[in-house]
Amino acid sequence: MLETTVMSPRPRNLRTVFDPPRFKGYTPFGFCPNPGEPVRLLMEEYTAIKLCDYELMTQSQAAKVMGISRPTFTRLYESARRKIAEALAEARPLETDRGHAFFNHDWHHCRDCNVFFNTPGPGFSDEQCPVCHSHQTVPVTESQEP
Amino acid sequence: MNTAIALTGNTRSSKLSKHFGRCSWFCLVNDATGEIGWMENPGLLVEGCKAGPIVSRLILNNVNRVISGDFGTNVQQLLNKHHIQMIIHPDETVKADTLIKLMMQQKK
Repeated sequence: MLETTVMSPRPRNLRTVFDPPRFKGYTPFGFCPNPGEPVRLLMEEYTAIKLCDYELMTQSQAAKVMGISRPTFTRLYESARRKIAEALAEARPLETDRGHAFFNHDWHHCRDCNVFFNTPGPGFSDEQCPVCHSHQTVPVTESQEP
Repeated sequence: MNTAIALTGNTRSSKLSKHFGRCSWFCLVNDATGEIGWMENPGLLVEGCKAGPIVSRLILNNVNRVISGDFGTNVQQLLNKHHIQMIIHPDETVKADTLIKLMMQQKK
C-alpha cells in the first residue's frame, strides 16, 4: 500500500517593512454601484512596489533591503502588481493587511496630531507623541485595523 | 532634544517637505530652550543618494529627531543606525510654525 506523507510548508521568513503605508486602503469613486469585496494588499507587497517603482531600486537591491531572496522578492512584486491591477480593473476597494511583515523599528501613530513616529532606542518613549505630547498613541498595527 | 524639520523654505511659514532628502532647508529646534536655527540641505549639492551628507550634518548639530513628509529607504537605515527618531507627518501643507508651536506647548 502506498503511503502518502503530508509535508507542512516551509515557514515564511519575515519581510522587513521600513515604513508602513499611511492609509488603510483606497476606494474607487465615481459610478461604482457594486464595488465588491476589497482586494487585500499585504504590507510587504506595498513595500515591494514602493522600493521598485517609487524609489527605483533594482529587484536585487530591494530584496536585500527587505531581507529576502531575489526570487522571493520577484514573487512578492508580481503578486502586488496583480492585486493592484485587479483592484483597478474590477473597480474594487484596496485594503492594506499586515501580512507576514515586521517593522524594522517600532512605529506608532498619534491619534491627536496624526503623526507616525518610531522609537529607535532607549530614551524614546512610545507612550507620548514627540510632536504634540499627547498620550493617545497606538502601535501602527493597531491603528491600521479597520 | 534637538529636532530637525525638513522644509521647502527657510521661514517659519515654509511648508513641510514631501521628501526628506529633497527638502531645501532644515529648521533646527531645541526643544528645551526654544532656540531655532536654519540649515540648508547639504544633500542638494550631491548627485545620487543624499542620505550620507545629510545625516552627517544632523549628527554634527546633535539632532535626535527629524520630521518630514516621507523618508527614503537609505536615509531610514542611516537614521536608525544613529538612533535618530523619525516622525512622518502625513499633512504636507503643515507649516513650520505650526509644528514648532505644537512641540513647544506645555507637555501634557
